Amino acid sequence: MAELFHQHQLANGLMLIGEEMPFVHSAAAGFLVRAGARDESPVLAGVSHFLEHMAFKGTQRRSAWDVNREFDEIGAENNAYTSEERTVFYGAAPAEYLPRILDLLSDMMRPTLSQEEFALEKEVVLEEIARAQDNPSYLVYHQAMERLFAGHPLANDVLGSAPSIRALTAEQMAAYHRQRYQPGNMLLAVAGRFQWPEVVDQAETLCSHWAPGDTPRQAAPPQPHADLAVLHRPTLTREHLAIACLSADDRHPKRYAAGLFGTILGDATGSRLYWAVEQTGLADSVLASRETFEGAGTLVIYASTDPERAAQALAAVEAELEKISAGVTPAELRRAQNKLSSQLVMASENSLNRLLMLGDTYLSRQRYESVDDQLAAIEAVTLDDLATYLAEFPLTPRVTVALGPLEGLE
Amino acid sequence: MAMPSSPTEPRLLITLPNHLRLVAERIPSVRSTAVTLLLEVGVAQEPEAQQGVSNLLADMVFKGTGQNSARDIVDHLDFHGVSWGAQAGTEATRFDLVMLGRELPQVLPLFAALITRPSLPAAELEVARTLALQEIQHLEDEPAQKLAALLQAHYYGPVLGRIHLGTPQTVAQLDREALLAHHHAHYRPSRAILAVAGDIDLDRISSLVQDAFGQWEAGGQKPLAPQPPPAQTRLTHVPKDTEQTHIGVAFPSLVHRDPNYYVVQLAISVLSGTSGRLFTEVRERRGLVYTVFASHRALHDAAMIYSYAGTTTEKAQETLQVLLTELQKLSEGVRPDELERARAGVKSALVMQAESAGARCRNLAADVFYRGRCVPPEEVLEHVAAVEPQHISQYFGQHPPGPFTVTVLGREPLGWPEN
Repeated sequence: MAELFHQHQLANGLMLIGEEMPFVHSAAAGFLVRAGARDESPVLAGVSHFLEHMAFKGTQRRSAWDVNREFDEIGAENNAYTSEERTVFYGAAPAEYLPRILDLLSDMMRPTLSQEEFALEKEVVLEEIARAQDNPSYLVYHQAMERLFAGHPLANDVLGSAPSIRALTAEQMAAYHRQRYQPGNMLLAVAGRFQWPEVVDQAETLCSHWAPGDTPRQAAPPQPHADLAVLHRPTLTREHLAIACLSADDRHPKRYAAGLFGTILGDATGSRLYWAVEQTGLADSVLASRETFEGAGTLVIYASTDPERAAQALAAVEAELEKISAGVTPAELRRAQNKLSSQLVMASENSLNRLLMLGDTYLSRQRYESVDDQLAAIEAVTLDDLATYLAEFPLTPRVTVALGPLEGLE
Repeated sequence: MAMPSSPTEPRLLITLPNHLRLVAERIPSVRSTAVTLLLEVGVAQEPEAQQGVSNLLADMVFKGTGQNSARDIVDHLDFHGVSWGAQAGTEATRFDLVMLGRELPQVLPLFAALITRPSLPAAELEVARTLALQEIQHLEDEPAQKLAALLQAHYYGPVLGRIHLGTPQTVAQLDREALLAHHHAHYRPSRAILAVAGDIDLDRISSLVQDAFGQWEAGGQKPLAPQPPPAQTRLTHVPKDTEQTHIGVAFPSLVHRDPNYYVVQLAISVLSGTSGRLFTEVRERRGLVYTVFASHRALHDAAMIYSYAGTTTEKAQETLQVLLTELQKLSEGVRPDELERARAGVKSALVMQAESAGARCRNLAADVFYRGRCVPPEEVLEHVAAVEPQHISQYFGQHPPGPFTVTVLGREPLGWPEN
């Protein structure tokens, strides 16, 4: 089979990677920037996410309207997101439009940050913060992160706060941009149908004038805290629970074991928590999800319960954590492997999903992993690996947050 | 049994002897296969006192069949790497499965047994009912979804406007007899569409389906076809202590079979997208919202355009005004460049959809349900290419957007904008 993966580094340090998908008719491109909530000082809280918005609000060559219009002219599926860890801009369209997506995205990496657009977009970001206030599952998740990582930058809220956003200036944002959007701190990735030499040529033309530079990140290991908080929100109807502890980070040798463990414990269907908490009627939904960061990973369980049964539901979750610490069965591991493999293949079939997975993997580990590499890694996990993982990440200390009508959990 | 597809198209639509309609499409670029079973029954076809029975039954079919317990079933699906979900809507119940193509022969027989011969064990019913009641409660904590349910009720009235979950009163009453009767009446091949898309062998798929579903007995009731009440101008405030005020606007639109369907669909696209009129006027120029959109929501015999904006209380009145103004402006027509962008969006979406077995499969089932046939992508492109700006101005000139049903969920009531 011909080599489907390509990479090229510009003289200024910008890394460019691509994976050809021979059977698809679309192409996707994205910039992944190592800039997120963890890189913000308190006075800059929310700047990474606000800057993500501002990238759409005008460049030297384009007005905000031009950016929006040009994406729509090619019918692109395009968006951006910001996490604790990074800011990601992406677009996908029929393959013939890839040059236009690359032109737009690279232009957006050097926004003008005009005062007028900055003031207007601030209102939009404040609305986004207000919207999050109406989303209890987001709120309870963030409250758990804030406590688990207390004192560590991973405790920062991606959205910042209304006061921090109001106080932010365009000059502060511009300084943050200069520091973090340097070529050595960014990755340009493409996936789908494309001619690699053309992508390289275009990237050279569009990005080689960016001044070289890199921004190392201080990734001190987190000191996790144990905590229990009951946050009284009388306007809510359900009690929303989040239980969080540390897990393997994105470079950890046992990261695939960690993923399989999360599936066995708390996948939306068929997991330990599904049977013990949802299918006993204690919670209308329960789910364990894993997030990975540079130098840290988390396992967070979310459940939504009747307030009067919240304590019982929490006890059921804790009993399952206790039980699973003794290990899992070979049949459970087999099913989780089949399930994760199948999900991985299915998620890799369209260019946009593949782009996001490819970029994420490369930025985390500075090397390429094909879907087949990842399938082999899932397949190779043994019960011993899960035991080793659990010995290093024993599900404690953990943070529990309850958000809802309750004033206390008996 | 004849099918209209040309022999070169990797697609088939046949009716099995028991009247089950099977639609299938091979997608050469994927290794996965999606299966959608659409049953023509939803909350609008339920007895008034049993609202929510379709939703509960869709959950309960996974609780047992023959010698298989709920745990056996889920373990089997997991072992074969199947992602699955079930949901009942206004007039259809849908089961969606996605798996690697090679697993289909191991999965289809079990799935057929669940649908055609569920044991509906009494021991599992209590928990399923409890969960359904909790889901109704949960909607209170999701204001945007709550608003959509309220607006649907205000717009479509007491039958088509029902919430698919049922009400706490009706769900609490649902017993095994109700589930059995509902299954007997509505889970019938003549009321079902099975769509399969992805990594499949079209020559083998009909025998595979015939083996799995061939014994499914015809019969059952003819579906009710409730009609919506005439649309009316109405503004309702539902008080709720939320951070944002959630605004929904609905007005009549065209069903999929209507010759002007693509005219309306493209007009809605002119409103949507990041260069669309709503995003531009409500968000980009005025900073009033984070979320604003308009979408076309069709039932079999009725359709509406649903528009949403979420904003903080002090900006809500202005938001409603700008939103309604933009909706009304459709009757003044659209610019050629706006129409071109709307067309580009449809074209690209078709290319992208062809890379997702799940999306393609849901569309195939929907085509057969709403139009009685598959609409190949090339035909969609022809329709879309034929729409000119004057078609949009003519249509909305004769059918000005409205009357508007407006529902507001939030702290303060809003008034009709003056104009």
